[in-house]
Amino acid sequence: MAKSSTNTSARRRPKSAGTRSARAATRRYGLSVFVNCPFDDQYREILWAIVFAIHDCGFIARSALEISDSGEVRIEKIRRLIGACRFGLHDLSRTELDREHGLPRFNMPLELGLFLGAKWFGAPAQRRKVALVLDRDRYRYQKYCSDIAGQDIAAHGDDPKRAVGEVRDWLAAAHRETLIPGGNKMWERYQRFKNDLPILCAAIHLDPADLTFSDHTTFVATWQNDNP
Amino acid sequence: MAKTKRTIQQSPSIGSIKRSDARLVVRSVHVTPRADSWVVVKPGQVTQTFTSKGEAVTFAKSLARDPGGRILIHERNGKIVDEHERAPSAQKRRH
Repeated sequence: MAKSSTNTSARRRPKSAGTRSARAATRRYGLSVFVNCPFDDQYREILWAIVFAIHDCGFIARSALEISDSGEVRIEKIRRLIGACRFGLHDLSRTELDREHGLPRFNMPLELGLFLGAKWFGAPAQRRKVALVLDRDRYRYQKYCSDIAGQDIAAHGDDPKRAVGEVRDWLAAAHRETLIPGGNKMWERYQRFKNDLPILCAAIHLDPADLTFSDHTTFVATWQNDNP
Repeated sequence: MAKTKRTIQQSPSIGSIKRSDARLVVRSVHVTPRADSWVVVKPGQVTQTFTSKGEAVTFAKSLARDPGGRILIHERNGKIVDEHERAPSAQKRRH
């Protein structure tokens, strides 16, 4: 009996644009880190160091600061970002009384709560979320947020170099298939980037002090791409 | 090689740096003034100081990638001059 010839190429279904975009979204979700940190002048040095470390580990730093649409309610922005990020970095070191009003600043703990809620009650993809909680001192949180006792909290002591090391160790544990340089090496690279940044800003007539979160991450990503 | 020179205008708005602009400045070699000297910076790689602007520009040209090397000279008056070496276009073949 002669075999009937089959056209195998006809059996293969072309990948739909929907499948491709779903895969791209899943991949992006797995690389995105929600950065829940203060944005005041005193903290900025630590924030930029953390953003550099996140990108140097091969991940993407996301923040509510990247969207400037004043027409959108802020909590909605945060909800969408948390949903789009598998990783969340939450710095509680500024959970303290505001000097002007005498009231505590609670945005960071609130967003940590939203992130943990998504992890516990969300869809299967959301349950894979991983959080890093940072504070100034390791056990300070027990005085103002004892509900999260037992969480693995890292301390940076207000030192950007220590913050880089903690972020690096956290993401390296999550990204085991890729070797990531150590914290000291990453800090050296960050110093080189910091030295170059004023010149890069001057070349397009920008003041480094005026850089927004999006501007800074654009420079970080571009610099790291050209200096692997 | 054909050489073009242009002055870079101010970025249109803060908070919306284009990736193309960021790539341009990161990949360029910069010649920038520092007090009484001139510094050549290739971001992430080389930083060297010279006493004169001419020496700095000569060194910068040796660092810029060929063809299509780009040098950004930060003048003392605040202007940024972009010196771009363009490779000659290929000659058309006649059949």
